[in-house]
Amino acid sequence: MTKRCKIPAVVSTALLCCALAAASAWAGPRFTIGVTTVLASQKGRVIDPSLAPMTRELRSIFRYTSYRLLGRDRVVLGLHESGSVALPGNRVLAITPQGVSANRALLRLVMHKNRRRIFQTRIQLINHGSIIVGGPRYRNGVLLFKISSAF
Amino acid sequence: MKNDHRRCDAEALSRFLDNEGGAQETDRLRRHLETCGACRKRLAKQRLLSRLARKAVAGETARADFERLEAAVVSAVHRQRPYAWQHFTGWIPVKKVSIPLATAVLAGLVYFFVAVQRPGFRAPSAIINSFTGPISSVMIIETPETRQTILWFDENSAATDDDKAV
Repeated sequence: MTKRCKIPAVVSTALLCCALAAASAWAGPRFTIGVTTVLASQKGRVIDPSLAPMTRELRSIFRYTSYRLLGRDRVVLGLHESGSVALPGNRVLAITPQGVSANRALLRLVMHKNRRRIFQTRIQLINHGSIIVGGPRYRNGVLLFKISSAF
Repeated sequence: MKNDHRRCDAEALSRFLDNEGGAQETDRLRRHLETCGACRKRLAKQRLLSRLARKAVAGETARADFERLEAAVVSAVHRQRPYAWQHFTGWIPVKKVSIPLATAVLAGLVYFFVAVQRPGFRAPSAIINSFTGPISSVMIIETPETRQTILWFDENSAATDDDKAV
């Protein structure tokens, strides 16, 4: 390829990169969603050390004496892009970021169990904040899902 | 000007006493004193006063405690020295900068104590806009300190036996 041919090729590649960057910018923010699954029970007094900050206040509200970490999941989603996380007990949590308002992510959460919808909710989650969704019985305790979001 | 030495001159007499007069004036005054008894008396009186004054000053100086005087002066100088705070304020270059800076720091401290230290001032971590589903009950709880939102639901109506399996 001659020097004359190379210059337009480089310029067009740069323009294409700029266009792609602009297109990705137009697509809106990226949401990093974290889901921490915890089994809380009244059997034993084991608290997973990594859950200590989370359980500090929970212990003053609930009667559970044991908090075990069952899993951590993380999905990165664009606006209106859906992602799902498999949870214990044949449950699946589908998450869809729907926007940003006043430093809060607007999230749509749908929980399924055995392909049956358990609930659907729309929440406004503060940036770098979290919500704890809990209540389903599992084994000898209940499941807690800490859902956090950052954008 | 021939009979100039006959005139009485109190100021010239004072200069004569202090040896401050010129040669011509001193000569004239000497000739005048030979003939003027009043000026001679005045001169003698002034010399006496001067001698007594010198004697009094010398006596007071001999009695003076210079060490105590020095200590008093040093103490007075120390009292006049600027304190550490005055050094600090002297270090701040311009008050136009220091006053807004101090105001901003104060506002920051007020915000910290009001917004951070007081848990009630915090916003809840999540706001629930809607909730639907075939479940028996739902509770929305908020932790007292960090205002962590908790969505608690009972899915008994939708529960199956496999949840109880280990």
